[in-house]
Amino acid sequence: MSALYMRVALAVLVVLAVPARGSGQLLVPMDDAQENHLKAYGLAYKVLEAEERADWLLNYRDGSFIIPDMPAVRRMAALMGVAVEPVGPAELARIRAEIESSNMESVPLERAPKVAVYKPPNSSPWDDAVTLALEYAEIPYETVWDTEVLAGRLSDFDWLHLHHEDFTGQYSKFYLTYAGTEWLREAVERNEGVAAEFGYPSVPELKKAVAREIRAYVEGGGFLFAMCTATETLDLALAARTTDIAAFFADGSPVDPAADRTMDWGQAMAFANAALVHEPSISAFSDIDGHLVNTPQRLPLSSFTLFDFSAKFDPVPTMLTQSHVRVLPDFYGLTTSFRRARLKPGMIVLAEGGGGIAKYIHGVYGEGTFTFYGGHDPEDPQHLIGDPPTDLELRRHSPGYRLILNNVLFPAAKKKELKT
Amino acid sequence: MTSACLRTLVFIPLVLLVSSPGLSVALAQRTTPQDERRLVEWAARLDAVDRPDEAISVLEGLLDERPASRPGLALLLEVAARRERVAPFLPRFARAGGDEAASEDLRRLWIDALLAAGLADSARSVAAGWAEARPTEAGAYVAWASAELASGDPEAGAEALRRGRRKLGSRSVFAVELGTLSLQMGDYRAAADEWVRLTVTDGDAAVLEEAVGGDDDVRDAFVDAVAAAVRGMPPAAIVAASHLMLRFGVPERAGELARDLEGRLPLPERSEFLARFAEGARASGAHNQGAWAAERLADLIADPVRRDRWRASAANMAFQAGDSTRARRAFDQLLRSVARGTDVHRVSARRLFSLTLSETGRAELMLADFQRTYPQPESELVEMRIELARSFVRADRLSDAERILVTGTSITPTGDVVLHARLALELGYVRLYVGDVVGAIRALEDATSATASEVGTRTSAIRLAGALASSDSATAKRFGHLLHLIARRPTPAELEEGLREWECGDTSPETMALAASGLDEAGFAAQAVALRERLIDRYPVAPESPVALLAIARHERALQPFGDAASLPVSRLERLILEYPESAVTPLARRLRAEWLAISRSEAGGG
Repeated sequence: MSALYMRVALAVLVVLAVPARGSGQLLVPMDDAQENHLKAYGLAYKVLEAEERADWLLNYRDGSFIIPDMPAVRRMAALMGVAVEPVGPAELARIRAEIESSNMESVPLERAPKVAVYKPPNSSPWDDAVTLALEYAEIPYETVWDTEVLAGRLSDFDWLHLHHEDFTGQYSKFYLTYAGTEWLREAVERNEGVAAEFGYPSVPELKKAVAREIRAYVEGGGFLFAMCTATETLDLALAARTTDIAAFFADGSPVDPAADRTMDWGQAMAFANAALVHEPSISAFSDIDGHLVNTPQRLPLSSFTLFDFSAKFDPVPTMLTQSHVRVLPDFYGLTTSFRRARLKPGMIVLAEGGGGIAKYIHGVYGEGTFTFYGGHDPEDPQHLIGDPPTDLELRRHSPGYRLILNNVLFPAAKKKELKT
Repeated sequence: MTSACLRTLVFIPLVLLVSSPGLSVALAQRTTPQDERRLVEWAARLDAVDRPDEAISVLEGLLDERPASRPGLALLLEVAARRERVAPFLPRFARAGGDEAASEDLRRLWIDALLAAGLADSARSVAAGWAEARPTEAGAYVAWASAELASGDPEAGAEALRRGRRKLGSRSVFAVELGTLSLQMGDYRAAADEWVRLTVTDGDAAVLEEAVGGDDDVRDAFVDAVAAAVRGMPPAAIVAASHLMLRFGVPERAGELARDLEGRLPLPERSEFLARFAEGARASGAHNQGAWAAERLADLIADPVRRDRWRASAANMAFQAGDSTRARRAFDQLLRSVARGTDVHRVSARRLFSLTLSETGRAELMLADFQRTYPQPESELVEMRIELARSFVRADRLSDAERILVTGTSITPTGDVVLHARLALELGYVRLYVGDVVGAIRALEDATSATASEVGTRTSAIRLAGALASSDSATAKRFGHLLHLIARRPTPAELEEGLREWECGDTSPETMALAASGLDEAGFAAQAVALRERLIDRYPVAPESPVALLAIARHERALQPFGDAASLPVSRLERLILEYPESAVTPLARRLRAEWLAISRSEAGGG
């Protein structure tokens, strides 16, 4: 093949590869110039949804986006209150040069991920930070629960979020504290109904099966994001493959006294060698959580710090930690944090709180990845059952919520760019 | 392992459960009613997640073991009928429904299955056979009628039902079915006769009433027919008809029947009827009819406590209905009979005052009396004083309006600055109506200087004072003249004329915005929208323009509460956000837009 032929072929490919749009671009700054950090993610998502391409400029002005400068995009940005700055070819070249010479990277975003939120069909007396973030950022999602998970519906989605589910099947151990409340009665009835429907002898066994399905989803290439109890209990349910770790109220039998010895940590994704909390009346599950909010060992809240990663060599952790604030106020959840001693080798700590306790971690499992974020609501440090939902219109620059939305856009990144 | 493989594995137990002979035996041994319920619920869930074939497999597994499972067959029919695949399952329905010992439910399911499979002739034949074999089962005649109706012969259907009635007597099922069939045939009189039959025999007419549906024409025709059908009937039928008409939202017709009946009832029944009718009318929002019944009832009651209770009920319902004559009469009677100082007396005196405002002289006396009896709370007295002042304004007695407001300060002995500011703001308006611009500005400054005044009062005073301060005296007087016209509640023609004249002269965005607010307050919403649109056209870059746009969007939203993204109110907000990105109301517009779109999505069933 001649050199001329090669040059012509290359030129044709380049022309074909240029997407049909105007010559200009819009920069969505994510530093303090941004008027609505959370909706900015929604804007980027809408661009992808319209089958346009976006670039995520990691570490450039705190994780800005480049999107096409089109009337519809400008209109949407204005309606959402998202600040955008037009950039011409020269300015764009300057930005790209700066990225090239710094700890920055440009990651193409190609496809709006299909998002699923795992939540029970009725409303629980607590809010889900991710659902709040998605709705505020105007990112569409579907909900799934045990029936859909066991029916294999997870493969329909790119991104799955779990929030505040207790995969040990013990109703967050609220069974005794909240005995007699309508929401708990409904939760018990609903869970037992599904367990019976699918032929499981108890809710803990049902949840173990669901946990295995979720792990298989990750293994097959899915992106999993979990917060609060879902993080810790998912792994406990996986490791308790043949061990009874559920209190008598959940399955009619007490916790196996030898449970700590018989846990199979090889089944878990993120944690290992945890000591279980056996008492049925204490709303804590194991010593994975560093804060143990509902126990006498409760640690006070302080702050947590996002780590810096090499954008060019570790683009995934870099993506997940894009923020205009590096030190964030901590917040409780039923699982608030993760003790480093309980992390499996290979887990990446993305953020760490006082005393070296991990707050935000990331791992790879099979073909997929998972991210665990401790705590319940980044803008409500002590969220109590029955508290009103956080009004994100008043928290539109929330760095804690930004971390959630980093995860939503992460699956949109072009696969080959993910070096981690 | 891929998730597809896992999905397959998950469903192996289900497939085995319904297809393996070995497991079928196990199922038979342990198929309890609880298992039956569980399997049917399972199938229903599968169907609900759009997996009807698997739902049918589960149901067939169940029916293999329990061929006469009524819930199983019912769900199978529902799922199969939706997929238009009933025919392959007909043998199951025939076996269950054709059994000698089959219940009425199973026989009916068999006939419904035949009808769903498009075999109306067979259904008719089976139903007729059923009626012949078991002439005492009412379900046979109902099924027969359904089959005839499906064959396109409703008259034959009606005859089947009449045959059942002849055999079994007046069972309510025949009245319900014949009534429903008559409605379908457009024979409203026959439907009404069946409805009357149900009501006089204590049958449940709710199903038949529901069958009337939401079509206004059908409803009106049925109501006419019922009114004719109950003529000359026992009181029970007329009572039921009057309540039906209240439920159907034709209170005037209900009232006609009630008035006709009331005089014919002996006393104890009359009281009971009036009490029930008044309550029914109140519950259905027919306050006028309720007030009539409560007033009539109060006249019949000797016990003063009960009488006053019904009189208060009559007065309040008349007040809500806007029937000022009846309300005034009732409140007058009530004030004469209840003791001063009681809550009933205070509320009655307050409401009677509001109803008497058009008679300014009498209202002023009532205010003085009220103030002597109820010196607290001062806020109520201030509100009454402002109402009276506005009444004087409407009567073009501006000096009296000013007097009432000026003397109003004496009723705030505690020096409540919030109430003082309310009176001062009102006084500012009245002085502007008179043409006393300097006096108006002084009063408005008084309203704004009260540091603890309400934000709304202060903002209104500042806006008006600002508009006056930026105008010359003649322009301000012309503006005051317009505001006076609006406050006098002119006719639409007078208003249009007044606005046109005013807009020919000097205007400003501030005065146009204030005039629009005045129009809103006076109930001229359409004129307010039009004026705001002219404001935006004339002063597109004024800060009042985005505020006007927001007000227009809210007005339109109130008229169209569930509009989608393409609706006019949402597009108004979008225009505001896009054209006035720096306006103080833009963040509010963004928030409203998000809220309205979220409501539209939830109304549309989206998530």
